[in-house]
Amino acid sequence: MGSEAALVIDSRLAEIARARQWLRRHARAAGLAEREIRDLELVLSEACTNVIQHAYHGQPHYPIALHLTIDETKLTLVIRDVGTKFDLSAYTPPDLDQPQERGYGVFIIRSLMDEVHYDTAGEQGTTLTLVKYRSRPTA
Amino acid sequence: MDCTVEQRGDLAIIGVRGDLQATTVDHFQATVDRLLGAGTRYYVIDLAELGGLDSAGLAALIRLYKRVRLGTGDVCLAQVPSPVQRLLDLTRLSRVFETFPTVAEAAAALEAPD
Repeated sequence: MGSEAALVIDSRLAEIARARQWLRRHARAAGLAEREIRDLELVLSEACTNVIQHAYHGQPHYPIALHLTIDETKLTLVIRDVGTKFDLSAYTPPDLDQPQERGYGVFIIRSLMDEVHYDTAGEQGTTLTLVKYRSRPTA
Repeated sequence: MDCTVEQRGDLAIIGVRGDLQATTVDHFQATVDRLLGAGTRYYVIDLAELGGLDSAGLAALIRLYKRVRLGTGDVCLAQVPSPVQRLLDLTRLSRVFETFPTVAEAAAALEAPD
Protein backbone atom coordinates (compact mmCIF):
# COMPACT_ATOMS: atom_id res chain seq x y z
CA MET A 1 0.00 0.00 0.00
CA GLY A 2 1.40 3.37 -0.95
CA SER A 3 0.65 7.04 -0.85
CA GLU A 4 0.78 9.82 -3.36
CA ALA A 5 0.77 13.60 -3.05
CA ALA A 6 1.29 16.67 -5.19
CA LEU A 7 2.17 20.29 -4.48
CA VAL A 8 2.98 23.30 -6.63
CA ILE A 9 5.13 26.04 -5.15
CA ASP A 10 6.11 29.44 -6.46
CA SER A 11 9.69 30.03 -7.63
CA ARG A 12 10.75 31.86 -4.46
CA LEU A 13 13.28 30.63 -1.90
CA ALA A 14 10.77 31.34 0.88
CA GLU A 15 8.47 28.72 -0.65
CA ILE A 16 10.99 25.95 -0.04
CA ALA A 17 10.08 25.81 3.65
CA ARG A 18 6.49 24.98 2.68
CA ALA A 19 7.69 22.24 0.34
CA ARG A 20 9.90 20.78 3.10
CA GLN A 21 6.99 20.70 5.53
CA TRP A 22 4.83 18.99 2.92
CA LEU A 23 7.50 16.38 2.24
CA ARG A 24 8.16 15.82 5.96
CA ARG A 25 4.47 15.35 6.69
CA HIS A 26 4.01 12.68 4.01
CA ALA A 27 7.33 10.95 4.68
CA ARG A 28 6.62 10.76 8.39
CA ALA A 29 3.11 9.42 7.76
CA ALA A 30 4.64 6.71 5.57
CA GLY A 31 6.96 5.71 8.40
CA LEU A 32 10.30 6.83 7.01
CA ALA A 33 13.13 7.15 9.52
CA GLU A 34 14.07 10.62 10.80
CA ARG A 35 17.48 10.47 9.16
CA GLU A 36 15.92 9.58 5.81
CA ILE A 37 13.47 12.45 6.15
CA ARG A 38 16.28 14.92 6.90
CA ASP A 39 18.18 13.75 3.83
CA LEU A 40 15.08 14.08 1.67
CA GLU A 41 14.38 17.59 2.97
CA LEU A 42 17.95 18.60 2.14
CA VAL A 43 17.72 17.10 -1.35
CA LEU A 44 14.40 18.84 -1.96
CA SER A 45 15.89 22.17 -0.86
CA GLU A 46 18.90 21.76 -3.12
CA ALA A 47 16.79 20.78 -6.11
CA CYS A 48 14.28 23.62 -5.65
CA THR A 49 17.06 26.16 -5.08
CA ASN A 50 18.67 25.05 -8.34
CA VAL A 51 15.36 25.42 -10.19
CA ILE A 52 14.81 28.92 -8.80
CA GLN A 53 18.37 30.08 -9.48
CA HIS A 54 19.14 28.35 -12.77
CA ALA A 55 15.86 27.38 -14.48
CA TYR A 56 14.03 30.58 -13.51
CA HIS A 57 17.09 32.81 -12.98
CA GLY A 58 15.79 34.04 -9.63
CA GLN A 59 12.48 35.23 -11.04
CA PRO A 60 9.38 34.63 -8.86
CA HIS A 61 5.89 33.58 -9.94
CA TYR A 62 6.88 30.52 -11.94
CA PRO A 63 5.65 27.06 -10.96
CA ILE A 64 7.67 24.26 -9.42
CA ALA A 65 5.52 21.14 -9.47
CA LEU A 66 6.28 18.42 -6.91
CA HIS A 67 4.93 14.90 -7.01
CA LEU A 68 5.65 12.36 -4.31
CA THR A 69 5.01 8.62 -4.36
CA ILE A 70 5.85 6.38 -1.44
CA ASP A 71 5.39 2.63 -1.43
CA GLU A 72 6.79 -0.28 0.53
CA THR A 73 10.12 -0.24 -1.25
CA LYS A 74 10.92 3.29 -2.27
CA LEU A 75 10.14 6.98 -2.30
CA THR A 76 9.97 8.79 -5.64
CA LEU A 77 10.02 12.57 -5.82
CA VAL A 78 9.47 14.26 -9.16
CA ILE A 79 10.29 17.97 -9.51
CA ARG A 80 9.17 19.68 -12.69
CA ASP A 81 9.81 23.19 -13.94
CA VAL A 82 9.09 25.02 -17.18
CA GLY A 83 12.20 27.18 -17.19
CA THR A 84 15.60 26.89 -18.81
CA LYS A 85 16.48 23.24 -19.27
CA PHE A 86 19.10 21.79 -16.98
CA ASP A 87 22.34 21.12 -18.85
CA LEU A 88 23.96 18.17 -17.15
CA SER A 89 26.91 18.34 -19.54
CA ALA A 90 27.77 21.80 -18.18
CA TYR A 91 27.83 20.57 -14.60
CA THR A 92 31.24 20.15 -13.03
CA PRO A 93 31.33 18.14 -9.81
CA PRO A 94 33.21 19.88 -7.00
CA ASP A 95 36.83 18.96 -6.50
CA LEU A 96 36.53 17.60 -2.97
CA ASP A 97 40.23 18.18 -2.37
CA GLN A 98 39.82 21.93 -2.88
CA PRO A 99 36.99 23.66 -0.99
CA GLN A 100 34.77 25.51 -3.43
CA GLU A 101 31.82 27.80 -3.10
CA ARG A 102 29.78 26.20 -5.89
CA GLY A 103 28.74 22.80 -7.15
CA TYR A 104 27.82 21.07 -3.90
CA GLY A 105 24.06 21.16 -4.53
CA VAL A 106 23.94 18.58 -7.31
CA PHE A 107 26.71 16.64 -5.57
CA ILE A 108 24.61 16.38 -2.40
CA ILE A 109 21.54 15.33 -4.40
CA ARG A 110 23.49 12.59 -6.17
CA SER A 111 25.16 11.43 -2.98
CA LEU A 112 22.01 11.11 -0.90
CA MET A 113 19.63 9.64 -3.48
CA ASP A 114 19.77 6.19 -5.03
CA GLU A 115 18.59 7.29 -8.48
CA VAL A 116 18.74 10.74 -10.08
CA HIS A 117 17.37 11.33 -13.54
CA TYR A 118 17.10 14.62 -15.44
CA ASP A 119 14.62 14.62 -18.33
CA THR A 120 14.81 17.59 -20.67
CA ALA A 121 13.06 15.94 -23.61
CA GLY A 122 9.82 17.86 -23.09
CA GLU A 123 8.99 21.08 -24.86
CA GLN A 124 9.80 23.16 -21.80
CA GLY A 125 11.86 22.85 -18.67
CA THR A 126 13.27 19.89 -16.82
CA THR A 127 11.74 16.97 -14.98
CA LEU A 128 13.98 15.70 -12.21
CA THR A 129 13.12 12.27 -10.85
CA LEU A 130 14.67 11.27 -7.53
CA VAL A 131 14.39 7.81 -6.03
CA LYS A 132 15.35 6.68 -2.54
CA TYR A 133 14.98 3.03 -1.59
CA ARG A 134 13.65 2.53 1.89
CA SER A 135 16.09 1.24 4.46
CA ARG A 136 13.52 -0.92 6.21
CA PRO A 137 10.88 -2.24 3.83
CA THR A 138 7.60 -3.01 5.55
CA ALA A 139 6.76 -6.70 5.82
CA MET B 1 17.76 32.44 11.68
CA ASP B 2 19.69 34.52 14.12
CA CYS B 3 23.39 35.14 14.72
CA THR B 4 24.96 36.10 18.02
CA VAL B 5 28.47 37.53 18.12
CA GLU B 6 30.86 37.51 21.04
CA GLN B 7 34.00 39.47 20.30
CA ARG B 8 37.20 38.70 22.20
CA GLY B 9 39.84 40.95 20.70
CA ASP B 10 40.84 39.41 17.39
CA LEU B 11 38.49 36.45 17.87
CA ALA B 12 34.77 36.37 17.12
CA ILE B 13 32.47 33.61 18.32
CA ILE B 14 29.44 33.48 16.05
CA GLY B 15 26.49 31.49 17.32
CA VAL B 16 24.11 30.36 14.58
CA ARG B 17 20.57 29.70 15.69
CA GLY B 18 18.16 28.21 13.15
CA ASP B 19 18.78 27.26 9.53
CA LEU B 20 21.87 28.25 7.56
CA GLN B 21 20.42 27.72 4.13
CA ALA B 22 19.78 29.51 0.84
CA THR B 23 16.80 31.28 2.38
CA THR B 24 18.70 32.59 5.40
CA VAL B 25 22.36 32.73 4.47
CA ASP B 26 22.36 36.47 3.70
CA HIS B 27 22.02 37.33 7.38
CA PHE B 28 25.02 35.17 8.31
CA GLN B 29 26.99 36.61 5.40
CA ALA B 30 26.24 40.18 6.49
CA THR B 31 27.44 39.38 10.03
CA VAL B 32 30.64 37.85 8.70
CA ASP B 33 31.24 40.72 6.26
CA ARG B 34 30.91 43.23 9.08
CA LEU B 35 33.44 41.37 11.23
CA LEU B 36 35.86 40.88 8.36
CA GLY B 37 35.54 44.56 7.50
CA ALA B 38 36.48 45.40 11.09
CA GLY B 39 39.61 43.28 10.75
CA THR B 40 38.63 40.27 12.86
CA ARG B 41 40.91 37.38 11.91
CA TYR B 42 39.83 34.39 14.01
CA TYR B 43 36.38 32.83 14.04
CA VAL B 44 34.61 30.13 16.03
CA ILE B 45 31.28 29.18 14.49
CA ASP B 46 29.12 27.71 17.24
CA LEU B 47 26.64 25.33 15.61
CA ALA B 48 24.96 23.99 18.77
CA GLU B 49 21.64 25.56 17.81
CA LEU B 50 21.97 25.12 14.06
CA GLY B 51 18.85 23.75 12.40
CA GLY B 52 19.51 22.80 8.79
CA LEU B 53 22.57 23.36 6.62
CA ASP B 54 22.53 23.19 2.83
CA SER B 55 25.01 23.90 0.03
CA ALA B 56 24.40 27.65 0.33
CA GLY B 57 25.31 27.47 4.02
CA LEU B 58 28.38 25.39 3.21
CA ALA B 59 29.37 27.97 0.59
CA ALA B 60 29.14 30.76 3.19
CA LEU B 61 31.43 28.83 5.54
CA ILE B 62 33.89 28.13 2.72
CA ARG B 63 33.81 31.81 1.69
CA LEU B 64 34.72 32.81 5.24
CA TYR B 65 37.46 30.16 5.39
CA LYS B 66 39.01 31.38 2.14
CA ARG B 67 38.92 35.01 3.17
CA VAL B 68 40.55 34.52 6.56
CA ARG B 69 43.12 32.14 5.14
CA LEU B 70 44.23 34.79 2.66
CA GLY B 71 45.81 36.40 5.68
CA THR B 72 46.89 34.84 8.93
CA GLY B 73 43.41 34.12 10.26
CA ASP B 74 41.52 30.90 10.79
CA VAL B 75 38.04 29.54 11.35
CA CYS B 76 36.85 26.47 13.20
CA LEU B 77 33.53 24.91 14.14
CA ALA B 78 32.20 24.03 17.57
CA GLN B 79 29.36 21.82 18.82
CA VAL B 80 28.61 20.39 15.37
CA PRO B 81 25.30 18.47 15.29
CA SER B 82 25.61 14.94 13.89
CA PRO B 83 23.56 15.57 10.67
CA VAL B 84 25.83 18.54 9.92
CA GLN B 85 28.94 16.48 10.67
CA ARG B 86 27.64 13.90 8.21
CA LEU B 87 27.29 16.58 5.53
CA LEU B 88 30.81 17.84 6.26
CA ASP B 89 32.09 14.28 5.93
CA LEU B 90 30.16 13.73 2.69
CA THR B 91 31.67 16.84 1.09
CA ARG B 92 35.06 16.16 2.73
CA LEU B 93 34.88 19.60 4.31
CA SER B 94 35.60 17.90 7.62
CA ARG B 95 39.21 17.94 6.40
CA VAL B 96 39.01 21.71 5.92
CA PHE B 97 37.25 22.80 9.08
CA GLU B 98 38.69 21.79 12.40
CA THR B 99 35.85 20.93 14.77
CA PHE B 100 35.69 20.99 18.56
CA PRO B 101 33.16 19.62 21.04
CA THR B 102 32.96 22.93 22.91
CA VAL B 103 33.30 26.63 22.13
CA ALA B 104 35.90 26.97 24.88
CA GLU B 105 38.16 24.36 23.26
CA ALA B 106 37.74 25.94 19.84
CA ALA B 107 38.52 29.41 21.17
CA ALA B 108 41.55 28.10 23.06
CA ALA B 109 42.89 26.48 19.88
CA LEU B 110 42.59 29.72 17.93
CA GLU B 111 43.93 31.89 20.72
CA ALA B 112 47.00 29.70 21.05
CA PRO B 113 47.82 28.64 17.47
CA ASP B 114 50.75 26.34 16.77
